Amino acid sequence: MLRALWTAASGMTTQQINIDNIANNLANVNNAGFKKSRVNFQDLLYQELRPAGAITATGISHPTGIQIGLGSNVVATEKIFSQGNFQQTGNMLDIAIEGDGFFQVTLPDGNIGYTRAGSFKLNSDGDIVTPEGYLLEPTINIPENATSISIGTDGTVSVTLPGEVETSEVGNIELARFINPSGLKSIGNNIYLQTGASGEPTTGVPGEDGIGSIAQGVLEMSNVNVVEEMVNMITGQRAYEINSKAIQTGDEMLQIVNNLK
Amino acid sequence: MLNGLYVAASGMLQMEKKLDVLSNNLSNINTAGYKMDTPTFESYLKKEEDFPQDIIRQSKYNQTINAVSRLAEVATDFSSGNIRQTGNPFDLALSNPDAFFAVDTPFGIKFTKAGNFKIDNDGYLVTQQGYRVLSRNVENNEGIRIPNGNISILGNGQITVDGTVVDNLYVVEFEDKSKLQKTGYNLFTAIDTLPEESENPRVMQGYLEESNINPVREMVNMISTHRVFETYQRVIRTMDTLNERAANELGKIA
Repeated sequence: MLRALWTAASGMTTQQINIDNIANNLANVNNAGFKKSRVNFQDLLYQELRPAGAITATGISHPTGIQIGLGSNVVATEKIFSQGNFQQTGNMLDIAIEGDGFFQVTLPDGNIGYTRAGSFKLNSDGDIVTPEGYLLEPTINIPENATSISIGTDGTVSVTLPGEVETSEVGNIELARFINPSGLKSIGNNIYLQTGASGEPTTGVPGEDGIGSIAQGVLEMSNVNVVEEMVNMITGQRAYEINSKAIQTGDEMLQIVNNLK
Repeated sequence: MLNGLYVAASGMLQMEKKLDVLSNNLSNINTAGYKMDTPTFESYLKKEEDFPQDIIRQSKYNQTINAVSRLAEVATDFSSGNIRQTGNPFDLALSNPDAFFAVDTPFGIKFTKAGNFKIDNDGYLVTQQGYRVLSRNVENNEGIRIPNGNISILGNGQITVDGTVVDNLYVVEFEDKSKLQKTGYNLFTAIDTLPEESENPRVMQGYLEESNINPVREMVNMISTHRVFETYQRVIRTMDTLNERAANELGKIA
């Protein structure tokens, strides 16, 4: 059968994955702290019809070979950790990271998860938690009678207690950064896990060593750019369409062969 | 039997191969750094030197009617693809169409135009497949290790982190690009040719070179392939009708 049928089919499959990914980016356009991902493609193997340097009957060697490619596939989906837009919310526990770095949270299984989503809450014990209830690591407890919470760019959390003039420090937010954040594993809920590809986290004080500083009362929105995704969607759809046309052409050519006799 | 049958059949086979090449181009329409392939055909005449003992085949008449077509070459068009802004610090485009990045793979040093790089867990700059991008420092070349910090890559391939130069990309050019062969995985192999360091690589950070496929061109090619294929079918059917006449009508006795 025609190679073209399978080659074009591989093109349709890669475009399908491309659209799946775009759909997920668009679905999370208003998700605070969400990072878009991108699909990377590569060409598949080449079938060698004549190797380069093959000797002809006349004794001359061909300078170039004849190779026919066998389509494309997806090599990786990659998270793009560019900075999202900041939105001023005024909420005391909305925290954004300016720069690289992740908040660390303790997952129910005891592992540490990493997140950029800074819409924190307080649980019934007064601990700072994510909207899912996962504890911020290291744990910071806010006294019940605190009248206001202030978080410095270096992650220092201080509270004002009734009747006191000076603020008192209750903890420090630490940030973690990875040499290769694209290698982190997404597990949903805006949380990432460390993998072999991401490397070990280096934790540190916000604002030092390029780890990113903290802004209070600000939320980092998703870094999905709707215009860009829309353009990607259009090109993805057309690429899908044009590959289906190649299959159709191949099919019609086979039909012609069948009508030969 | 009639020679034309084989000539037309060879034409059909070539059109099939052409569609294979076109499909591969279309399949890679979104592959970063992919370069378009174009098949070229030649008429193949049995040459005197091929069959010195075959006197009949050497006659001009025989050579003409035995000329079948065959695939001569699948040439790669190295013109630049669109350069798209992505903003990702490890997306690098080479706006010089002659320039290639050199990468170290388990099967030797290969060259690529796909600049969608990333950092691996050891801190090295690698391709999406995980192959290390080579540095200009050829001795003891382990790849390019990038420390944490603000990375900026200049047009000449210099990599600076927080303002200090840490390494240089090894960007190369070839005298004869037709000697580059595709190996898949966005890579090219250099056959019988040596890379020379590019003097003006024009590296663009935060940009990605897309494939240089022109969908209109490929579509028109596909339509013409289809129609030519159809024409050969007509030729074969006509020949077959002639044979039918010869067998059934000419041979009829009274």
